[in-house]
Amino acid sequence: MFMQPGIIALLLGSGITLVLLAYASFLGVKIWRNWDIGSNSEAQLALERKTYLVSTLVKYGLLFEIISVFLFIYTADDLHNLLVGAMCATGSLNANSFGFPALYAKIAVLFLAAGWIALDSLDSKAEDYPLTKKKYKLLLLMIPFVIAGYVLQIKYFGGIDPNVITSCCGVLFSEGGTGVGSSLASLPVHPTEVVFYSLFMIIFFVGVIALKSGRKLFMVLLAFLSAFFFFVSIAAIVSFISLYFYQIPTHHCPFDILQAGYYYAGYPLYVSLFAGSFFGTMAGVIQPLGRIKTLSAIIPAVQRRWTFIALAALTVFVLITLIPIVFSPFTLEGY
Amino acid sequence: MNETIIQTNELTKYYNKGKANEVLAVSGVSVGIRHGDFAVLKGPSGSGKTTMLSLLGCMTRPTSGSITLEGRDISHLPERFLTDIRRTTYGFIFQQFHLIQGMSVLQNVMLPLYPTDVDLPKLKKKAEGLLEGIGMMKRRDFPVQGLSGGEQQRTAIARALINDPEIVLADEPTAHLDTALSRDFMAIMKDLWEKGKTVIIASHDPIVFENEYAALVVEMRDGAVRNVTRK
Amino acid sequence: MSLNSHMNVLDFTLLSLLRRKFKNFGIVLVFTLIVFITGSILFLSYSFKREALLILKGSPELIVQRMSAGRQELIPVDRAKEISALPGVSGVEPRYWGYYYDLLVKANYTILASSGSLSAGNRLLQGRLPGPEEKGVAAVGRGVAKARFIDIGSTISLVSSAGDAMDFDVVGIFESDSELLTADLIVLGRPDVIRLFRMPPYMATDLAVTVRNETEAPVIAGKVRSRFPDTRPILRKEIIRTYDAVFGWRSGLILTLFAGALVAFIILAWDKATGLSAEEKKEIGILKAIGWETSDIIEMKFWEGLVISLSSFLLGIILAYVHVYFFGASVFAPALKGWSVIYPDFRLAPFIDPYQIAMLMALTVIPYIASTIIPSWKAAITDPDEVVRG
Ligand SMILES: Nc1ncnc2c1ncn2[C@@H]1O[C@H](COP(=O)(O)OP(=O)(O)O)[C@@H](O)[C@H]1O
Ligand SMILES: [Mg+2]
Repeated sequence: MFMQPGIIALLLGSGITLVLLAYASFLGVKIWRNWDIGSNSEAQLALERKTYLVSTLVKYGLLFEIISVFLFIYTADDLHNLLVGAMCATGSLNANSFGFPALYAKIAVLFLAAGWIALDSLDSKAEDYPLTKKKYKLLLLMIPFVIAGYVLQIKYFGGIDPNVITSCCGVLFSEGGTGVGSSLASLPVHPTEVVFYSLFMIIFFVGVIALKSGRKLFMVLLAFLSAFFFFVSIAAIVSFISLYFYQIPTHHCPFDILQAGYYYAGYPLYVSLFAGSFFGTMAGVIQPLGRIKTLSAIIPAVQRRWTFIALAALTVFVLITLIPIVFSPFTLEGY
Repeated sequence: MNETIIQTNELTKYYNKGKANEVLAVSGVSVGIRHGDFAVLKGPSGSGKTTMLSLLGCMTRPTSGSITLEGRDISHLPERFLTDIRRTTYGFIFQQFHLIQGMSVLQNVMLPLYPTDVDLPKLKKKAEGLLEGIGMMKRRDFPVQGLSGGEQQRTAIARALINDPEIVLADEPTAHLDTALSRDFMAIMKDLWEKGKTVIIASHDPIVFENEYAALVVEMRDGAVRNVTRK
Repeated sequence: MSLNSHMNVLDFTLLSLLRRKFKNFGIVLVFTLIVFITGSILFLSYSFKREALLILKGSPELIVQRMSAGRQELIPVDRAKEISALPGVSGVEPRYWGYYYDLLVKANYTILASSGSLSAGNRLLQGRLPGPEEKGVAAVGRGVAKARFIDIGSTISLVSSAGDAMDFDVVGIFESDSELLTADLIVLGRPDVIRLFRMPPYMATDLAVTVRNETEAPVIAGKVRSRFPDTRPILRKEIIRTYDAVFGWRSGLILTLFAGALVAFIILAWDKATGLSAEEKKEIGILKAIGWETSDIIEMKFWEGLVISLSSFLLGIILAYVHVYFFGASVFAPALKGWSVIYPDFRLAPFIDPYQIAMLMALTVIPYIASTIIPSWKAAITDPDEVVRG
């Protein structure tokens, strides 16, 4: 199985990501253990300079991880030709029990790395680098996910047996099936639509109030809602948004929208969703950091900027989901 | 205009501290420099002038002691913030000019502000204004390696001024110039001083420290201050 | 949040790259070559796959084989009747075929019995196909014809499983543009195939089942299997996957070999980046002394790596595209076309998608950029204090 070019590329690319992030955490531990911001010694100066290397490694790691997530989905999609019963990436990922967990681990790394970079940028705005010890501890937290993503993908590709019939989105997301996938797909369309769009409206209003007032409560509320909205949106994509894009009442695959046949609509869709829920969540996550003296002046401005980005991105996301609903004759009346 | 802009307190700098080649380059220096001062650090070679300038100019952190810039203690700042201060408050004229070969006079002058949020056309206008003021406009697009020593120094001066610094630092600025050019240089410095800039020059050239407007002369030897004269 | 500073740093990077164009030329050249080779291999193998898929679109939805002890066995012809009685089945046809190893040219041929569906679908033939019951005649693929130096009117001699030589008059040749699958093909009448392979009477190699509605094929397959537990129904999809596996494997192999070259390249890049020239080091020092921050230098180095790798990447991909689709991949085709030495030249339909781009990126751009991180950082932390002294 490993001789597929896509898999070789993936193992190489994500292997490099793994090495970068592992090295970053190794340096992180070193910095964290010897850090003394009050000291003017040459050793402290050397550590300070190493922080730049760690930041760079994580940034590149995130960049490569993004490519590697797409490559993973493409490769899974490509493998469906090899698998009995698989019609798209959903079916391939379902070929054994490692496919989806590998994808989840990779997505977790995306969010963690992005969150880490956000904290890092915040930290470097305050003269005493108040988050240094915290952030290098967090870096260690990310490593298990990176390793898990890599190992799971090896197990996934290694475990693929072309002779075992897999169930594809039709079954996995079938309305009569069991499991998370099917329960997502069997979410009744109209109520899901209502929940999805009204939740967006709520977030939008909470966000606007948070922007206007800068009140703590609304920031924290926005964070919870944005994180929740991410999962609701994934459910909505599986439940009805994908159907409108494919114009087939039974095709629930969340991956096919990345393809040329659907005008690559999946890219802006997922990018705006990820960015929107990420910044919305982060705006509230950093709220407690406002208590740190050197950050207290910086946090509100950053929060406002992130809230603004979150609202803009989520609006774009929702608009994209509306395009096929509004402009195509296809309807889900009766489904 | 007489309040202190930079105050050092027991400022000490070791190189290679704790190693066999340890050097005490600046030792226990406490001086105050006022807004609008024309200050000269004088002393023989190896006395710690350059190191002092480097410390005052946020190029390096002291081993101990403190530097206060407009009331703010900057002796423990991480390099990132020291750079910020340099970018906004200081203009530095190096002994060897340090222009980037292969680039034009104009580009060299613009260079310090590239990584800031200015937009390039505005920056260019400003750089041209400075070149005009210093009589280098005709050399605007010359690659710097073709310039004479005096012209290179003028380019370096224009570059040091691109960020409207409050404090101008120069290290042995007349070391590579003949007497006439040295006097020209001092005229430019005087001009800046008259416009309200604080000027600090390290030099052991009498043309520099025997000027009537050099209000503060700090004499250094072996890293320590031997004598401070304020006129 | 303004982008100006990033654009300005990019602007400076481009200026610097131009100032040192000869120094960067070497790395661009090597990089382009690597992308070109990797890209050619990928384009080639993916368009092969697509060609194969296109061909298979015309084959039966379901093939029923009989299995015994895990191996394929001949299947009794009378099962065809029972299968055709299943609801949803529109027709069943026994197929007689096998592989034949030609010692003379050391190549595998695919021997296939002529049938109604075969002749119906074939516009690519020069001459004619043997009739289903005709004896002593053959139609051959271009590859076979080339390898054995035969033309219409010549005879081709094959050795049967019993050991006796059988001669066939060649009455038809598949044209050169008749795609991948017909190249190694020899079509004979049914009785000749049975004799050549010594197949027992009333037995066929497998059964080709056509169904009314393709989506029902898996259901029908299931029914066939429960009616005849010793059979293996193969969906058309499964054949497609075999081709997929073969092509994927082959290009994978080449890619692995190629990884060696890649490593060499990384070392080269590393060397180039670590071995910053004294002049370049001094420049970075000056930049730091006049107010550039460590992260600005790192950003500059990032742009530098990105500009170098993306421009080489683009150039390499365009060259690979032209090479594969306009010049028939003249350099690599033999390696990919495979175990049979007799595959013909054929034109490939241009095809490129984000998957291939992402793969190529992961194989070339990512290793290159990763190898520049540490050297760039080392350059970026130059002490401005050192520069003050010159
Ligand atoms: N990077 C360095 N490493 C070790 N010693 C240094 C370094 N820079 C300067 N020194 C030493 O520090 C002392 C002061 O030097 P400097 O400040 O350059 O004096 P000046 O500018 O007055 O000639 C000298 O003894 C010099 O050798
Ligand atoms: Mg000196």
